[in-house]
Amino acid sequence: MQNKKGQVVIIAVVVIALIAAGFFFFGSLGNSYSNVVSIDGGNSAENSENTRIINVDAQKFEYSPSVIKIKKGEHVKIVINNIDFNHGMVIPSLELSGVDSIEFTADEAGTFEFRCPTPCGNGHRDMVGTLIIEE
Amino acid sequence: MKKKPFFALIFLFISISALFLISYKLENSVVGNQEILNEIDKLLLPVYNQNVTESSFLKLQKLTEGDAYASDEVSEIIVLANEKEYSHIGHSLGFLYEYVQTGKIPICPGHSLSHYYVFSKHGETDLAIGNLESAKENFGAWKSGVKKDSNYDANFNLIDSLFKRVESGNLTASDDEIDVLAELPCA
Repeated sequence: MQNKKGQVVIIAVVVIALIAAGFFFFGSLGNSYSNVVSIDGGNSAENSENTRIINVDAQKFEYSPSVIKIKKGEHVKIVINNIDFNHGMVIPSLELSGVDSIEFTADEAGTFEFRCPTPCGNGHRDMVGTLIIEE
Repeated sequence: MKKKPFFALIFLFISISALFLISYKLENSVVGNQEILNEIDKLLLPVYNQNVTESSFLKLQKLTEGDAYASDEVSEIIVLANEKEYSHIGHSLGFLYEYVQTGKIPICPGHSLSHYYVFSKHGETDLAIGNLESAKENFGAWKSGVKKDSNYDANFNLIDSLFKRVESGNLTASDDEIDVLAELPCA
């Protein structure tokens, strides 16, 4: 009888430990997965109501749209859809760069050039766009 | 009868150890690692401004330790930085980004062949030979896997002719040829 009680206790401990380990394991898995999702601008926490998402197609040798207008003070995430190559984007004057996305708050009004940072062929130097931050 | 609790404890120990190991591996994996992707994002600007040295890539090197493809790619990037081959760094960062994001190793014989010429030019013989072998190995898979667009024949002929040139003992290519090779699509 005593022996049976001991077994029940051990089985209970095993089950509880496995459940705890399961929580730990799946918790970690969940974190890793949410990191991957946020890469492509999916339904991540970054896409809050205060962030304006702007989708831009990048392919040899143009961005579409090539002119982006935003308001000063806006928090913006430019999501770059690299169609034929990992072009990415740099906005040198604002010291911003990214392969798939660039996220920033528009602190300063003005007109800024964005460019393809990765040499992608003969038209690479012409792969330019304009970011206009209005007052 | 007394052995049952012992086996239960062993089972418990193995199960928890396995879960911890899997969890540790997931957390430290290069593929899907947002920190690496953020680091590559940050590096694009100094690479574009041609303002990078070996030390610029130390964090990336640390983050990719333990992953053969990613760490090899970063080692090559560091050599390219030392040799001021900025455009080739840009390409390598793009491929590394794709690998970290998707887990898929891009099949890019054109890129490898361009690095063969670049490393040869700078006397990095081992890296050059490694890239030439990689280009040859991947050419078949590239032929069948790359998108057959209007440039396919020209791209194919360029790689093929350069392989033949290397085999005949001519180890040189023009800067234009190297640039075109580096920018060829991957499969």
